[in-house]
Order: sequence, then structure tokens, then C-alpha cells
Amino acid sequence: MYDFEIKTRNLLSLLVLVFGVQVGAGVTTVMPVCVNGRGDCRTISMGEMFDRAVEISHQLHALSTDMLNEFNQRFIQGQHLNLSFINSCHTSNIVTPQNKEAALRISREHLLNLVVAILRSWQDPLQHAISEFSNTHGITSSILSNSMTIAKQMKQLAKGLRKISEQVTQHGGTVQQTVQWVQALPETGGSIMSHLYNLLRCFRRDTNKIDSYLKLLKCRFPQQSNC
Amino acid sequence: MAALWVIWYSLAVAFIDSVYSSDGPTITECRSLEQETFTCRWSEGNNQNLTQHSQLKLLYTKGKNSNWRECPTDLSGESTCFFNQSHTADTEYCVQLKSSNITHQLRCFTIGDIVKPDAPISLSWALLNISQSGLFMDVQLWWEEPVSSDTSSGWNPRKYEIQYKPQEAEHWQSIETVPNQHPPQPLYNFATGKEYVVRLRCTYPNIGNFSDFSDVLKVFLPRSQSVEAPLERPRITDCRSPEQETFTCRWSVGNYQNLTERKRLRFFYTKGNNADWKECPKYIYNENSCYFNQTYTSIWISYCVQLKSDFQDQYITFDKRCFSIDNIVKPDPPIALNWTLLNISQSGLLADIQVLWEAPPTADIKNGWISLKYEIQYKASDSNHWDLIEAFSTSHPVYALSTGKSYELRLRCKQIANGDFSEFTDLVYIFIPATRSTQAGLLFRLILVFVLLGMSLVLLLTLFTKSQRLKLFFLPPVPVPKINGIDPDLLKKGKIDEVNSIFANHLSYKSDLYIDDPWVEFIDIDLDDPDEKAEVADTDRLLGQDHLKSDNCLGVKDDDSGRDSCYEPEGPEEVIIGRQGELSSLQLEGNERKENIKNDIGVPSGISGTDAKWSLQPNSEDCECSKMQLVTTDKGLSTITKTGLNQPPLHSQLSNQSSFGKMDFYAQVSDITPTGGVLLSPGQQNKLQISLAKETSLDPKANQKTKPSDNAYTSEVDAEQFCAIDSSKASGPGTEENLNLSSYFTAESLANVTVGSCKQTENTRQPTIPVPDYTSIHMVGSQQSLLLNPNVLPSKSQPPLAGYLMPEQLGNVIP
Repeated sequence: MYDFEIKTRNLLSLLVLVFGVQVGAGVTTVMPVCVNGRGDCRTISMGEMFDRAVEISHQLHALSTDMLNEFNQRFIQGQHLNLSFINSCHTSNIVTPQNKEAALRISREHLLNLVVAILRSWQDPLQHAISEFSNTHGITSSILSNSMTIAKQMKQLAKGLRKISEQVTQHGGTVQQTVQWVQALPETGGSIMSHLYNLLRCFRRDTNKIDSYLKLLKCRFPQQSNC
Repeated sequence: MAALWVIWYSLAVAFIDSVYSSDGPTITECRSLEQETFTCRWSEGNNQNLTQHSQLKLLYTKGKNSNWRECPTDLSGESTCFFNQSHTADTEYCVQLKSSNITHQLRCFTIGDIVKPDAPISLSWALLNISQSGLFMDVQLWWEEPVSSDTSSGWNPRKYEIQYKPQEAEHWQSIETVPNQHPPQPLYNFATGKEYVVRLRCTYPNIGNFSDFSDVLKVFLPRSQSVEAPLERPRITDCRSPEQETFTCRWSVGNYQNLTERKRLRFFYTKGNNADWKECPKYIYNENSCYFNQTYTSIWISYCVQLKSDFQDQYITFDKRCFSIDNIVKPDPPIALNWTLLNISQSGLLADIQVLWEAPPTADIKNGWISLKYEIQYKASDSNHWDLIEAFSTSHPVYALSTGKSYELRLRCKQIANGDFSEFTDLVYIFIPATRSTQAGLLFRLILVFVLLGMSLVLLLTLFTKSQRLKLFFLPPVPVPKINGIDPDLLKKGKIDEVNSIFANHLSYKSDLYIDDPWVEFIDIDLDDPDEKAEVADTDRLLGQDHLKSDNCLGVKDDDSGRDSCYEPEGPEEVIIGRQGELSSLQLEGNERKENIKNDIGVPSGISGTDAKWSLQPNSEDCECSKMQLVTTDKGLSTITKTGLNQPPLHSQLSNQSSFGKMDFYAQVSDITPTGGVLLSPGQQNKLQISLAKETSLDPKANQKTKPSDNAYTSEVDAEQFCAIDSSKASGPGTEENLNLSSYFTAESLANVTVGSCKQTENTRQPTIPVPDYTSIHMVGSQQSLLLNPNVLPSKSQPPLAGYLMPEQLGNVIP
């Protein structure tokens, strides 16, 4: 009987514990870091901003890979395509470091600028792709929603990078707009699918580039420790 | 109207054409390469006059009803006109060559009509496969787009028509690729040792014309003289970058004769589009691989690599592939995989472990160039299913592994958002021995818990359903008291002396049956006093009340014993202690019992109060005498209880109440001897005896003992006594005298016995004059009358009685 009582007591305390933990979790999750529109919220550290930026860039790359694979499966299927064989992309004009050594050689501000430039040059093509997707028969909803998510996240990433750039310039660096605006896709000519396919391949490659540069940048700022 | 005009115009042109010679200037070609721009070319012909004047001009109209305009970009001297994007639209164009008002040629077209891409260039082939016999092979065809066809959109899809035939054959076999096809294009079932020619052309999928054919490519693989089977070609097995900084390509040599020698196979690469082939920067011959260090590695640029060799004077590409570095990143496996035990569950059946490892040393995690995620795989050794856990740091717990079971653990990693998984680490075996004791303990505890649960359930059920029975079981009715060796029936129905005799066997038994006689005595005295009516009345009332009480009591008349028996639940009130009771009983035994004593003969009745407890505090004037009760128990052990007066209960022996009324007393003086002795009449013998007993038994110690305790032990008898005294007071002043007389009495026997004196007073009240104290019995008459001697001082020889009147003492008293 005593044993039984102990058991029930344990059970009760367990229940209490679980409940408490849930309550605690509920409390901790609802903890806004900053109230919108208020000047008194704490400034987010460079490290945190880079963490978020890298997180988004990860997602961007994963999404673009998914999208390309799905597109390939659905429209370019069975054609012995070699994904790595890419025709020229519109961002090819942006001269970017092509390996780690080169990326480490250039200044972090410049690298940041390059990332911003690549990102910016994809905004219009991506919008174009989305409108094409929504007009094209046979585009799956997942491709469409993926592309929309990508567009949203790209805006977020651009916003975050702008803030990072502001902080960088505050600390002595100057943001140089080294990259020319790259013209968007033409409306005419060729198969839309081919356009889109090449676009997606270029985009995937560039998101990988962005991701790598951002990770590299994240670790090049001294505030960052967890690399 | 316009249509008429056009018809007229074309007729006119036809006329003019027929007029002038055919050697005149002509528009040789209008062509668009990529649907965005077009170029028109013309020849001046052999008309010398015209060429001399150089007055040939190309005019064009764009759409209908528009005016003739001159060429927008006239490249003088080259006989071409280029229409760029701003001058190109998807509509009908007409162009004409004019020289000094002579129109030499007129052509109308749309863009679609004149689109004709450039022919592919750089056609090459590589071995794709070779049959085991070596007689047939599959090849892959590679080519490149000419640079000129690049558009601003970066890429214009084309479809290709590939034609091939054996060298000597007349007809081309043709295959058309689907749109968007990129090289390489496989071609199957070519015979080895036979020369083939291949060419191809391209077109835009829905518009325009085919391009010109490319150059003809000769495909020839000399038949191997090796008899080894199966035949294996040299091929690139793997290109991999472990850290996204460098990469290595490996190949297998195959078993072609002569090719297995080192340095016969050469590795080439191109970086980027339309680049030249370069040879491997660093061969690692013993591994048949080529290593590209950082300087030769660009991450986001396409590489193509090929394995070539001169084979029987033919330069054969044995394998070729293209890739981009970010797609061939495959990290090294993590190292130092280990685990530690976190804890074992309370039951001892499950255990949690922490798996620890280190990132591959090649991966540059510190700089953030690569970020890895890990996949832990574990399974029970006898199972086939691997459980997967994803981790992002270099340690992760694995929960709930069964103890006593062997597990296998392995780990691999990959880039978070890209690339392939690494190879697995070596298997790590996990075995956490099960502790049998804990297993048994768990079982025991489980069983215990269930048993206890069941028991408590049963208990609850019984409690709810059979509560009455349980109450009876746990609180049984109080049993009848039993004395060992005594038949209860005997106690109920047997004679009291039989019982007594039985009790007498017990040493500790002291009969309490007789000790109440003195109590009766007092009552007798009260009754005896004829002078005091109040007392008589009192006594009468008392007796009456007693009768009443006994009638009222719960007891049932015991016919056998002739006694009223009654059990008074208020219980015993005072136990008559010892000596006096015994003394009196002894006395009574020693004396002859009279028949007139209503107690049954041989059944002595103890009457309480003999010890003469004296209530020093008169409780009330009338003493509430009426409340005295006499009760008997059916066993003959009777109690006399008196309620009221808040007095402590008195336990007394039974007295037969009916005896009160009929008792005889020695209250009557029948004669006075000349010496002053008093002879009491036999009818009152009992009383005299008792008073005698009083005299003899009055022990000073006992009296002293009892006196202080009168508060507690004041009995109804005492009260009765008091009543008597009280009434005597009321009757006259004799009381004091009597008390004084009592001092004599005390002097004679035992001093300070007020009770005795009281009684004595009562006894001696009859003579109204002061008389000598008749405290000593001179003799007992033949008729059982007592002769009392006045003023007989106690002899010194007489020792103070210690409770018992010894027979010899009695002898002293009673000659």
C-alpha cells in the first residue's frame, strides 16, 4: 500500500512537472525580443544577424535545389541532363571569388557587397519566374509555393544584409556598389520552360554561392565565435 | 486597295527582273541566328556599271503600309545590313536592293522564316560503354554551341538532328533530340573496328530552319586484341571534393591491352564554357587520380574532364564528364566516434547514451567555409533497420537503448544544404550489460504493486459491502465474564455458600458476604429507637424507598434464593475493604444465626457500612436518605448503591432487603443485674452481637484510616448514621452527652471511634439517665441475651485488636 502511494505520488508529481514544464515553455516562447516601432529595443548583435542570414540562405539554397529537382523531374525528365553543365547566367557578369582562397582574400565588406549584388540581381528574374509559373500550365503548386517562399525569404535576407551593411559602414567600412544592375530576362524567344530551367539552375548555383559567402563572412566578423 | 497595289508591284518587279540580266545584284541571304536580330547580305553581281557607281542600297519596310526605309546599320563595303533588336519585330519585313531608281531585288519575309542558327562546333565523342566481347560500343557525342548564338537571355534551347553512318555507307541514319537537350548525346551499338562518321545540326524548337551541318566527326575504336573478358574500358570513377576547396578525380584503368601501363592514360580538363582542354595539373599515378589544388579549383564554374589515350594511333576519349564543384562536395567521414553512457533507467531495461565525435579534419568549419550536418545511424545487431538521428553539433544523445542488447552505431555527415553524404565511419558497437538484479527488482516491484492494488481493491469492496459483518467481527459483543474452574451456572443458581466454599479454596479470596451486617445494624438501631419518630419515619421512609427502589430496579426476583436481585448499571460504588468485613463475618460465623434474620440461613449477607465511615460533612439536613438503595446481584454478590449526594460509589455486599423489616435487635433491655449489667433481650441478639463486634473489632488504626477518607468513602450507611445522629440531635441534647459517653467507650476499647460512640449512643440511648457504659459483655445468657458490664476498663492484657477478634479474645469477652 505504501509502495502504491509512492507510485501515485510520483505520478502526481510527474503530472505536475509536465504541466509546469508546459506552462514554463509557454512562458518562455512568448518573449518578444523587440517591440516593433520602438526605438528602445536592444540592438541585435552582428553575430545574431549573421546567424539569421545564414539560416535564411541555407533555406534558400535548399528550396532552390528542391525546386530545380522538381522542375527537372516534371518537365525536363529523362533527357540525360547534366545539371552541372550550365549555360551562362545573367549573374555571370558579377565577378565573384571562385574559391575559398579568393573569398578570404577580398575584404569582407566587398564580399558582403557581392552577396547583396547577387541577391539584388535575382529579385526581378525571380518575380518573372513566379509570374511565368503561375501562367504556365502544369506547374505544380509546390513549385509555385516554393518560388513564393524563396521570394519572401530573399527579401528578408536582403533586409538583413542591408542592416549588416549599415553596421559595417558604421564601423568604418564603406559599402561600394561595385556591381552593375543586370538586365532581366527578355520576354520573347525560346521556350519558356527552357528559360525557366536555365534560370533555376543559375539560381541554385547563386544561392549556393550566397550561402557560402555568408558563412564565410559570419566567421570573419570578430564578434562571431561559434564557427 | 493595298492588295491590288501589292499585286501590281510584284508583277512590275517580275517584269523588271526579266528585263535585266540575272547576273545583277541579288540579296543572297537574310538570316536571324537567334530570333532577335537579323542580317541581310547581298552580292553585287557582275554588272560592272552598277558596281562602279556603288549606288546599291537596301531598303526595307516593316509591317504593311509603311514606307521604305534605308538599312539602319549599313556596313559600307561589306554588302550587309544588320537589324538589331530595336529594329526587329515579329512582323513581316520586305527588303529590296535599289540602285539609282532601279530595284534589283525584292524579298518579303517574317523573322520565323529567316531564323537559322549557327551550326554546332567542337564535335567530339567519348566512349560510353563497351560490350564485354569488345565488339560493340556505345559512344557519347559532345559538342558546343557557337559563341555567336549566345543571346542576352543567356541560353537559347535548341534541338538537334544527329546523323551518322558507317564511312562507306550512303545513307545517313538520323536521330532527333528532344528540345533542351544538352550534350552529351549517347549513340548506341557502334561496332568496334569500324569507322563511322557523325554530323549534326540544330534548330530552334518551333521556329526557323535547321542550321548547317557541323563538321563531320570520325568515330573509330580499334578492336582490342585482348582476349580478356569481360573487357573493361578505362573510366573516370569518381570526382570528389572533400572540403569544397580542392578536388580529386580518380579513374580505373580497365583491362585494355597496353593501356594499363602508367602514363598511357592522360587526364584533361576544361574550366568554364568553351575553354581549352588542359592536362591534369597533378597526377597521382599510384592512385590513378588527378589532384586539383586550390588554385585550380573554382567552385561555381563548370568543369569537364576527360580521360584520353592514344590507342593504336588513335586518340580515343575513354571517358568524359562535367560537373560543378559545389555538386561534388562529399566530406570525409567524421572521426573519433565514441559514446558514453548517460544513464540507465530506473527499471534497468533502457539506457541513454551520448554519442561523441569530431568533424572531419579536412572540413574548414572554423572559417565557415563548410558547415556540416551529421546523421547518426544505429540499430540492434540482429536488426536490419537503421534508426536515423540528425545532428548539427558534434555530440548527440541516443535515448532508450535496451540494455543487454548489442547495438551498432555509425555516423556520416554532409553539407547542410548541398552535396552528398560522406562515407560512414567504422561501426562502433554498443553493449550495455543488463543487471539481472534490477530486472528481478523491477519484476518484483511490478508484482508487488499489482498484488497491493488487488488487495486494496478487495479490501475496499468488502468494506463497502459487508461493513456490518466486519463491525461484528472486529467489535464482538462483550462476553460473559468467566472464572476459571467455576461453573457459571453454579454462580447463577447455586447456593451462595457453595460458591463461597469454592472461593475459599483460593487463598486470595476473602468473603465479602458478611461485612454488611453492621450496616443493617445501624438501620436497626434507627428503627429501634421508638422515641424518635422522625428517625423512625426516616427509616421507614428509607426502607420504603428501598423497597421501592428494589421494585424499580431492573433486577428480576430470584425466586430460588428468595432474594430480589438487581443489577444496577451504575455499577459498584465502594468496595468494602477487608478487615472489618472479614471480622464481622467471622463474628457472625462465630455466632449463632437467628432464624429471624431474614437472610437465608447459611447465606450470610454482608452489609456494608460496618467500617463506619463517618461522613464529616453533613450533606444536607435530611440526608437524602431516601436515595439509598439496596440492590442485590443475582450471584449473591450484591452491591448497595446509593445515588445522589454526589458521593463516591460504595461497593457493598448484598443484603437481603426484606430482612430489614424483620430483623431483630438486641435493643431491648430485659434485665439489669445488680452489678449494673444490662441484659438485652434475645430478640435483639443480632444487634447486640454486632455492637459487640464493633467493640471488639474497632481497630484504632482502621478507624484512623477510614476517618480521613470519609470524603471519598462516605457511604449511604454513613449518611444513614448521620441521619440518625441528626435526628438524635433534633430530639434532644443528648447527643453531645452521648458523644461524651462515647469517649468512655473509646477509653475502654479503642479511642476516637466516633462511629462506635455514635452507635453506642444509639444503643445506650434507651436509658434516659446517664448510665455506665455497657461496653463489655459480661456474659451471654442462656437465651442468647447479653449481659453487659458497666465501666469495665479494658484489661491491659488485652492487646489491641488488629482487625480480627481472635477466639481467645472472644473468650475473654464472652465468658
